[in-house]
Amino acid sequence: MAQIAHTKRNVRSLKEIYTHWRYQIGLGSASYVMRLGILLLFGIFFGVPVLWLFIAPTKAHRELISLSPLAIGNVQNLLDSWTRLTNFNRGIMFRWAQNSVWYVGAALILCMTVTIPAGYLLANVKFKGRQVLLWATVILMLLPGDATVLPMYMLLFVLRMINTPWAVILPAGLAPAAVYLTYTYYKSVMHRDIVDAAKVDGCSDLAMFWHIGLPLARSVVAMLLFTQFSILWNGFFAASIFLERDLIKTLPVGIAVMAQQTGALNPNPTAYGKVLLLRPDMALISIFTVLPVIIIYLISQRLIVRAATAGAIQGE
Amino acid sequence: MSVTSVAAVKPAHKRQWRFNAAVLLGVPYLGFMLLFGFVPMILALIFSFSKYGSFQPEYFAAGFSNYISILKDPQLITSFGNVFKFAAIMLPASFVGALGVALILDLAQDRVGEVMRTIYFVPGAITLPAVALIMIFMFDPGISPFGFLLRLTGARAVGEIMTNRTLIPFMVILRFFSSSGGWIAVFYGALTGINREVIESAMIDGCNPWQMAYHIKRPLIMGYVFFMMITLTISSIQIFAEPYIMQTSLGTTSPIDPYWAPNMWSAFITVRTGDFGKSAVISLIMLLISLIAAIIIVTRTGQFKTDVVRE
Repeated sequence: MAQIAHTKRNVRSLKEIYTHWRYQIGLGSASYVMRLGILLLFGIFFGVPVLWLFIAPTKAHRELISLSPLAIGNVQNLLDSWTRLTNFNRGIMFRWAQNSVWYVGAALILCMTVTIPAGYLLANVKFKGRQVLLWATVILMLLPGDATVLPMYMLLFVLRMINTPWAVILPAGLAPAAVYLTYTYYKSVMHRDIVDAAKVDGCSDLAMFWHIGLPLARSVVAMLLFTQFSILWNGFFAASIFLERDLIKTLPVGIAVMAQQTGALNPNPTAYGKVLLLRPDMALISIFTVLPVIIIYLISQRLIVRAATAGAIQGE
Repeated sequence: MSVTSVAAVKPAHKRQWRFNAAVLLGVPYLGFMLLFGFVPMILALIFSFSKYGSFQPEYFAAGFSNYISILKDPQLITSFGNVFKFAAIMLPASFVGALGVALILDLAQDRVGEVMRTIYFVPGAITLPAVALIMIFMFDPGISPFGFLLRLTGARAVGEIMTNRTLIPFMVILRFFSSSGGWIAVFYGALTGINREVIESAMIDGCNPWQMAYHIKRPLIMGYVFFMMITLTISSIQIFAEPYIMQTSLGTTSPIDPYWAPNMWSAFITVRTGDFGKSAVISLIMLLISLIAAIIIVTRTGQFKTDVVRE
């Protein structure tokens, strides 16, 4: 008897949980299952290729075909792949990684130094030409960087900077999207009355930037670092054209070089003579290149999305 | 110019302070904007009228001959045709895909939705050359996790899947894989920002969640969707990394030539032949299309606040 009562109570509580869940979710069961099905399908589309990429280097070249696509191989294969990669052109991948780190580091410092004061200026200082500068910023921000790569090549050619690291570092000083983001940030955190009150107290614009603007910049700097880092690290088109010498290339360009020079992806790799790299190795170099960005992406998902919507959020 | 004049006329005036601050804070940005934003465009314009053949370029010596030779080149139609075809599939695919998934995600707030959103977001972190490689693997019936689907078509090798006919849809899948997670996140962010009162009053009126998604929520975030469409149009015309990687890594079996997209064509002329005149013309055509699209976003969507007067 007692057991039946206990079971009944359990059933009731399950029902309660279900009702509560329905209330929380706001969807009927059929709708919920349908939503789940569609989301999972897209989850497979976006997730499985990434999962495959991380599994592939654990398999030998032949095992990619003979084993099931998502079966995990062994550590030895991973080590073999690593050895082949590091042997390619006497370990040039480390040079590329080093280049990527220093170009992106220098570019980020330059970008922050130029961007923060400019965003502050646009948001809080009244001056002639402010409207024009803001318009130019928005227009340039909407032109993707790739649109001016070839005209930029011509400029860098004239400045004799092609084939030097400056070709990819200096253009990072112009980051209109980052300036616009900083502008909207300062607009939202520094209210007009604070600025006016500080002015009444005799605080100059420069002093205000130093004492209020810079300390406030910390959170926008974090947002800018995350978004700019992934853009700069992943940059391909400009880097592939501006940096022709192998020794000064970056990792993303290096992937293209490896794929092109070794025929690793070619159905007939023997046409390239001695096979230097195989498909699992290409997967491994891809992981090596994208891992820093994926980690940063996962940490800062919210910040990156907030940065992407910054332009429109303020309209709400 | 007016720095000195203002300083000379009103040395002790408060306005001078503001102007000085402005100069110090904005000069580096203005410098970089001019140098890397506008000078390249002006240079391209100058080069487009210049003659390259001998060792030294002859500025303004070409007249309109570069324009005429590019406009007459059948490659113009082929290259721009390719990217327009790409855009013609990419835009509706993103509209239905990204917007649809965001609306479906927003039907309920639960853990599954959160996890899925992150999974969709990750491919956006992967550099395009790596995305191109991953996709070449994904379309290889022998090794792809989706191989069982590919083998249904009777294909046994990646070359049989990637032909001239399937190339553009293939690239759309590639770009959709890499870019739509970001848009889904943006739309989802916008959807969660919708005023709850609107949603509740629709619920009281007997609106079911699907109707609400389509009739109430969708129209409220169309500004963002419009923004995506224009941005996609601009970036579709500029496509470079994916066709370039496919062209170079697949070698002779690749269905792509080095002039497949305008950017590839222009880069080929610039780097291989050094004829900046002709490549400048191609760049200017792309720049013009992109500029028009950018101006449409700014003036028509109201998405970007540029009005400093009405603050």
